[in-house]
Amino acid sequence: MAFKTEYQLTESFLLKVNQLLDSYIEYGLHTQSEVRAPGGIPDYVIYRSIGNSIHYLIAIEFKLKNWHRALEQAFRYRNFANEAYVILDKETSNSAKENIVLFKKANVGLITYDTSDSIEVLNFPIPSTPFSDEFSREVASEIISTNIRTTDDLPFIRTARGGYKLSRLRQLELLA
Amino acid sequence: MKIYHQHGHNFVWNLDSYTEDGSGNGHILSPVNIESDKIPLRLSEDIRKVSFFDPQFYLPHDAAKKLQTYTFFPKNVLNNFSTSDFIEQAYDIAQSCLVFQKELNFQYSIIPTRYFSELPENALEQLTSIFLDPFISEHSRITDAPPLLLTVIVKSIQLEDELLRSELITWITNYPELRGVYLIFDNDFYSKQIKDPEYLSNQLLFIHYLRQNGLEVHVGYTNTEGYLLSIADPTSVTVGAYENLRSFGIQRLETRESGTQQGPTPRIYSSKLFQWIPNTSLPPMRRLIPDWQGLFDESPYSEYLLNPSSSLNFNRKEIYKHYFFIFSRQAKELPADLQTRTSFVVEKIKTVLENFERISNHNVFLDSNSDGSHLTSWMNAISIYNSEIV
Amino acid sequence: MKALDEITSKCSDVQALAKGGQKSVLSAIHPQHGKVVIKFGEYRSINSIERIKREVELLKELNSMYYPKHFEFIIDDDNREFLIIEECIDGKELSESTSAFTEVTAILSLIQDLVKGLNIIWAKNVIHRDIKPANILIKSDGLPVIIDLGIARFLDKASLTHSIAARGPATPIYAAPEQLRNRKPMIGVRTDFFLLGILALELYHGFHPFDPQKVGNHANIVDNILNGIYLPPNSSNNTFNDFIEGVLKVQPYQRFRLPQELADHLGIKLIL
Repeated sequence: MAFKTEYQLTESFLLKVNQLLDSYIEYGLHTQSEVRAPGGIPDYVIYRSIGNSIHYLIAIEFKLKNWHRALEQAFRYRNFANEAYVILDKETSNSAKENIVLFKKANVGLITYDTSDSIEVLNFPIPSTPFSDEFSREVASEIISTNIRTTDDLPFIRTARGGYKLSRLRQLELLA
Repeated sequence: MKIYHQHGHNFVWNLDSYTEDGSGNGHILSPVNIESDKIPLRLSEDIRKVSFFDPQFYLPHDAAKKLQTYTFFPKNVLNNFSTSDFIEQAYDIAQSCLVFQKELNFQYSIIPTRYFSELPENALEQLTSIFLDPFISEHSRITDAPPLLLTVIVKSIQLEDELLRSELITWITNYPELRGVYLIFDNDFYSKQIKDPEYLSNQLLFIHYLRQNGLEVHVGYTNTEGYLLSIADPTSVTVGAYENLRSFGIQRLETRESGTQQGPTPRIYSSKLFQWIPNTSLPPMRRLIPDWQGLFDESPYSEYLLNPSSSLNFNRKEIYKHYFFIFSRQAKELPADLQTRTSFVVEKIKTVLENFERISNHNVFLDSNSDGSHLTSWMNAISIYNSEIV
Repeated sequence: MKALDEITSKCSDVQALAKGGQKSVLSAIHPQHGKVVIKFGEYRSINSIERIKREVELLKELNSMYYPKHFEFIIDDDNREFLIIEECIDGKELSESTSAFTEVTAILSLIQDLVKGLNIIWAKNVIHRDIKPANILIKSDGLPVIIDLGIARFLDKASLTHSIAARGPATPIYAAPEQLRNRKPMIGVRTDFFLLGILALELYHGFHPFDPQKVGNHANIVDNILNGIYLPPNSSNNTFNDFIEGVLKVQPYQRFRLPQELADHLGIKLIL
């Protein structure tokens, strides 16, 4: 069954992510939604910070259907992110799957998720340095000045704060 | 083909670009943005001689603050805005508006028009009674008045529907008193570039038939498609700073335009791409495309614009002065002969398409408002146009 | 009609000449003006009656060998009636003089005269709108005189189509496409150019050039005019051929634009 709204997709997926991230508190991973960034506002970022500096950042764009627009946006996030992902409703993701080569070309990850909690990772991006030092600094400064270290501030998730080991994100597949 | 600066809030950028960089051939003044008594102070006579004044009667019942300084603006003259009231005062308004334009020594005398959100059945009859007949009549009574240009807003339906198009072109060309038209295309496209080849070819044909009838055609509010329109031999097209000066929208005159707008992503114009490229696309281009700078033009502003440490926002004048500079240069390079010009433009488009292919091959993704998807429409429009005028 | 009664009571030898559609025609001897033609009738409501009245005033001032003198031109907008008194010209209708216009050079010469004559009203922003053989008299010296000026502005689309429907698909129609479509903003001098084209080509062929039976289709004259389907000339005279092609375009904006352009093509000088 398809998600009715993008909000539902986002909320469900992030609940799922936070179940996983709860186990990796010690790695200094944090999350934030709707970070103002040059050229767009990613739905969600996961970052690793040490003190007041950001050491690694993943940007995520959720979409119900318009995968092409999500891909364009996610590619732009590579200006300041080490990895960028598009997360789609599995029900409407066939067209994106048929065009997986574009995601590979853009080096953008593709994940599908459905209402039965099933996650499929169709493309893992190769971690890379962000395209722009200047944009990275801008986003880092935006995150740090906002200083959200807990997901408590997100209206729909209440979990313990913590850090997470980055590579474990790939174990999402195992949860499916 | 000449280039006129379409003035808006920051018209000082246009004036500086003209005087300092030699960009453009003249200016189109916007009374919404300058009080009447400031015109001779801000624009020298030399500049006014190569410029014209758009009376902007588009919404005659509304007068933004600066429009109130123009005594002939309808809102300042009329009690109500019924057609009969307008007709009664039309000759006085015409006389006053024409004398104003003459005394400031503008290049042309502009006959205004009003904006219709929905075109009424008798639109042309209304415009004839309210504007055309009174202005032509009063113009003949003013010694040495500059030649007349008629403002015409062309709605999409008037390009698509053969009968409406024929009616409009015939109406315009029925008047030997007109030197030409100040043409404004009004459309509802959401994308930043026009991607409808039928629409583009209809624009070309429209300009072509007016030119065939010996009229000067000055096309206002144009964007990069002004380059495409050159093959129909318009007398001029425009360059404008913000997007609302590169695509006509009545909202500009309904709301107050100020310098502090919501900030869109700053974009840099490239004649190698016939496109405005968002500054957020520059970092991947730098990283992934060898000799990426060859995809942009050189100008007095390019070093600043393409420097990664420049903190660009869309309010930077360098962005627009760069565009004025480059586009003016493109216009100067166009061959005079129309057939040669068409081949020249086609070859340029092909080169630009190759540039976009190169960008794609290096895995740089551009969104639909930044890519070359409009160029296939340009090529198709040229084919359609050429087949119609044979 | 009150005005008509007043005038005919002053005249002698009043005779009916024609009646049809919305107008009637009388001839009479007027005490002041001599032999006159009186045309009168009713009209449906007209937009821009003020403009027509202005035109009517201009026409009263006409003093040219190409037009009968206009003595009276009355519009009664309360009763929606009009009345025109003009000089009675001693000449034959063009439709009865076609034998004098079988050669292309003669046709061109006629067109040249008509353009010179029509230019006098075109310069005053008046369009004739009803140029047809019945409205041109040829005097004994060959000079054409344009009559019925002013009538056409009282005819609206309904009357035009009514008269077409009543007469059948191949009945000669002298109307430009923009008149058939009743598109007022499109009416201009080029409308009269089109009508001159029909006139000239009809003289050349000896039949209406848009006649479906001659063109070879199953349409009617109106459709053929609207679609620009006519029998072109087969003459070696390029001036004539180009004139026909340049005035019979369906789209007015593709015809000769100004009287001077047409005059240049025909090799004449326009004098006002």
